[in-house]
Amino acid sequence: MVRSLPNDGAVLVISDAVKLFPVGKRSVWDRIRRKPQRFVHAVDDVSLEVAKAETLVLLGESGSGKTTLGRLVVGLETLNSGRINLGGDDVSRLKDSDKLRGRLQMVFQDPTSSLDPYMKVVDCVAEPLRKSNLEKQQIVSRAMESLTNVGLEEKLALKKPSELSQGQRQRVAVARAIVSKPDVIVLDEPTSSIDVSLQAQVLNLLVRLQKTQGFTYVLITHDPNVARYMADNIAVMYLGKVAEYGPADSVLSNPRHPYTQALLASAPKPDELSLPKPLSGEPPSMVSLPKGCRFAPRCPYVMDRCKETQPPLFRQEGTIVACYLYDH
Amino acid sequence: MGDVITVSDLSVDYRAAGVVHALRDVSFGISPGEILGVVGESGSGKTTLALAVSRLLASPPAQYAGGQILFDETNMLKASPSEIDSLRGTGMFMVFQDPMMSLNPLMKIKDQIIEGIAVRCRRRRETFDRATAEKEVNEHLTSVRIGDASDVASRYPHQLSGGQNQRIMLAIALAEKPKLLIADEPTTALDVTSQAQVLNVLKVIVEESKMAMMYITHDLVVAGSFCNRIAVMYGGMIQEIGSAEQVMRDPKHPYSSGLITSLPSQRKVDGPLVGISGTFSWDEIAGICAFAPRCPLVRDDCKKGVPALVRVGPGQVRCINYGEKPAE
Repeated sequence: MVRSLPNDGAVLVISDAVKLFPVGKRSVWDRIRRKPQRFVHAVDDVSLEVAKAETLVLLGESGSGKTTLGRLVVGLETLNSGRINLGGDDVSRLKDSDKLRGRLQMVFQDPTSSLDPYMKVVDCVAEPLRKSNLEKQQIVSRAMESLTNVGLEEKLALKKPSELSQGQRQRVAVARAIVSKPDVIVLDEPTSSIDVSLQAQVLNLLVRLQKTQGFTYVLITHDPNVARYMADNIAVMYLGKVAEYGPADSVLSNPRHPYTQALLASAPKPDELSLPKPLSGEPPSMVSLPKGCRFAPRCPYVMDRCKETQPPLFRQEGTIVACYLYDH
Repeated sequence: MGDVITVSDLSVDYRAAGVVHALRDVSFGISPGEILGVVGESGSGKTTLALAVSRLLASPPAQYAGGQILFDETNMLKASPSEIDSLRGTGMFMVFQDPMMSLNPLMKIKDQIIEGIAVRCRRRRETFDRATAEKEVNEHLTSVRIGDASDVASRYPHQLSGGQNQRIMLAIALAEKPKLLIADEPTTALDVTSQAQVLNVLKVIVEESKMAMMYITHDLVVAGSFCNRIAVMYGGMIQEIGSAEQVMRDPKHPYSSGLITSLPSQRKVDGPLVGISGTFSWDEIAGICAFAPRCPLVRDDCKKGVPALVRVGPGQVRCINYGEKPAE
């Protein structure tokens, strides 16, 4: 079975990551009867890699596990099994977080709730450096430099987040993420709460920072258009599993997995004025997933064995696909 | 004129500490079976327009400052509250962004749709019979492509997905048979796949029942793929109105073209997105072209007054680059 794309010099290596969330409470009686605890398989056996100065896009709908995977990468959730390696250090098992401090950062969807309303902008940005060995003066100058880098004027540094516009706040969140010069930045839907014109500004900013300073991104999005613009590699996720993983060009222009095809067909395209094609049916419940391929109940090409066993990953010219259609 | 609704020179102010001209001289009509897309960023006045047309604006702070709204021979601004009430639901029907806020969490889906049928029967003096109403519920659920209609009918909103709930809202709309459907960002909270389902259902409903529809969105791509005509709003004014094809393929107003080039339709290696610089602010636009502070083509003349909406080809544009003819 193919584990992941060959990629030398990967900064971040996720191998066989599994995250389960318990469902419901077990009463004492349930425990006595040894009634098994039920779990949601939020992330199920996912292996991915990100190379330096590249962007890996996790593309999927809500419930696909893309946000949980992002949170696992920065250590906001702990793995049930598997490994996440950041430049040789195991993120999931490292006891002293000092070794990781500042090397992983996250930008959240809603900057209004991710920035402390009582802190000045410059303090918000400087916070990741607070535990570093830098002098206070150096910390402030690093924070100011970071604000300039994201295109914010110096006079905004002493304002509160509530005095800024939504687009400016998201820039502050980006400034905070880059201030410690992290190895990997996880961007969780960074533009889905802002207008299109501001989205373009933020996306341009992220790309400029990557080109000039070599930042590595894991971008979580549900929007194939954002994915196309930002990605070097794309992992399409469905119900906790990777459906398709490969270079952005290949995944977007020649989607192989039936789910990728359906997802791309249901997104309206700027250059076509036709109504997007809907995918029939609803995703199955996360608690009682189908035994075989998770997309089988909605798949137009479903075969008998899809309903029986989960397809492994098959290699197809640079991309890997979890679908029996490619079992030759 | 066979329009279901005609809005002429509608102006609305918000009076609190100061006065904000939330809507200025907005004019349009929608004919049966037509979808008018109202596109704009936050603060453009698009939601105020939806609420103003349906007389749902909270007053104070909102105040109608001129113009008129003719809906199906009723002068909406002169009608009494009870007349307006009798138009709601069966006359004009609103679908909001979050279906969970519109549906009653304590009522079964079936009962919520039957409530709509009962209202229609009372107002149209049809006989209401619960058994036939229940049959009708299943028909409506099937037309909004809810798979297992009788099962879903006996569930509660929290047991359904966002996309399903939004389609339940549309099933209620079908039950009430309104002449005008106003949808305010109905798919913004949904995944692309659910969005595609809802859009396809809406299109069929509008075409089959000859409803007129006002579709409010910040997403120009969705508007282009779904609407017949598009009105682009900025600073409380219509900046450009024309057929969807014309606005998307050959935008006349610099704001419309900025919105279109903001859309990520390329790869990051192709260079930065040509977006719109700056952000919108009410403070800067009094007495001048609302878009002037952000416009790449701004000249001194742009700041000498508010440009008129002039006819250019089949559409209308509010920009001094297009003639000095008075608006038609």
